Amino acid sequence: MRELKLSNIFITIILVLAAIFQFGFLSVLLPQGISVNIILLLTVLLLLEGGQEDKWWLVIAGGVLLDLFSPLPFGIMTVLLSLVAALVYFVHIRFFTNQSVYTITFLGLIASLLFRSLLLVVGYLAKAGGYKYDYMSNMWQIGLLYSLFIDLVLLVLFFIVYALFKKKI
Amino acid sequence: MLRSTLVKFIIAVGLVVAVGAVFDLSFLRNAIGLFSSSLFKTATSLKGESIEQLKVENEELKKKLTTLLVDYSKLKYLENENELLRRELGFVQKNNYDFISAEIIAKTDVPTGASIYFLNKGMVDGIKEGMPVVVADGILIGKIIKVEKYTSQWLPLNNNNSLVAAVIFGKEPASGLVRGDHNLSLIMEYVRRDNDIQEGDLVVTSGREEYIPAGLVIGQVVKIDKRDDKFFQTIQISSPIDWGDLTKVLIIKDIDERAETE
Repeated sequence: MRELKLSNIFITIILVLAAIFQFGFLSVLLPQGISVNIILLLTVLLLLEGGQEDKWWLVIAGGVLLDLFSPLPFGIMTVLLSLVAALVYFVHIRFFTNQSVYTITFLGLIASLLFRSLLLVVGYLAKAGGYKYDYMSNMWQIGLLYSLFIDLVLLVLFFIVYALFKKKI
Repeated sequence: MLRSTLVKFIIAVGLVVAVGAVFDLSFLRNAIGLFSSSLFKTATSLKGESIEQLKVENEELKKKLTTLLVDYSKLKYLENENELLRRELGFVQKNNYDFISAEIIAKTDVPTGASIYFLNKGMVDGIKEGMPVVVADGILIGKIIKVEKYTSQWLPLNNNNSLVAAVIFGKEPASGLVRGDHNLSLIMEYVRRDNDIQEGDLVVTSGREEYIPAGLVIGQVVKIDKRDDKFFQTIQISSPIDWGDLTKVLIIKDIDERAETE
């Protein structure tokens, strides 16, 4: 029980640090139109690699952090992240039998693509609904491929670090 | 087991949405912002550290200084010759603004390509939606689009969704609307074709919007698209500010409040 609590606190700290890194550092260094969602990648990685059913709170924590730094109304990011995590989790237990780097990377990329697509749909809906600031730009297509490539690199990196850390413990 | 987990999960998501709708959670953003703002400064300095880049920027600044001097003399001329016009347009003196300084705590790049900046000042500091965000005491860089108790969101002027009423100081004042162009540069639209605009002319705010005073510098005319078959001409504007280098900004507080305090 104590171990579980400590690991939960540790994971929460990691997620908060990831939010600080994502919104305060990477967003400045990356060129306009390219975005990386470390919180999404970490959430998916820990959900699929960790104790599964007892790690669903991770998705809520990740969603709240994304919502805090989102221009959209509070809660939308949590709902989107939950939908994506649930779908990826379902695909994982239904169609995959292992937790190899290929499986996690593939599912992480699917999650990233799905999350971005859902966000685009939300953007278009907001625009159609006459939302005051619709956040749409014509440049998103250019940035999407680069963003997915960076996501891929980060996923592999996170998986290696996670595997090394797990072995050490 | 899985079903009960799913039910708990859906309830938890619903709770987050409800809490977010009822309570102002900007204090959490501000708490995280205490750490992220330092990192933001580090990233900004890392971005512009290249010596070559500094040399290029130095050259550009020298050119801009020369141009601004010319503009300054033009403005002085206008000031002397058109005092009546200035009064009619309600232009305010540059140094009379009541500023509030704010730090950028985060930047969000949504997949749709737009960038939104979060500032560490909010409702408690007197920030209101629509207030102008400026640098160097009078160069407009955007507007406040959302205010919460402790934080606010700033939409840069180069964003596609930004819109501000402006005037070009050419041979004769020409009005129009300035908006962002693909999050990179600025364009001015709805400028009548018969207005005589020259490259290098200064573009400033017209003051026809709530909270935005007249006379804030937006940029200079760099390209004019004038066609015989169109009633309006489109002007490309160059801003003297590099949005990527900013860590601190100024917000001009309510003009009416300022008038009352004076």
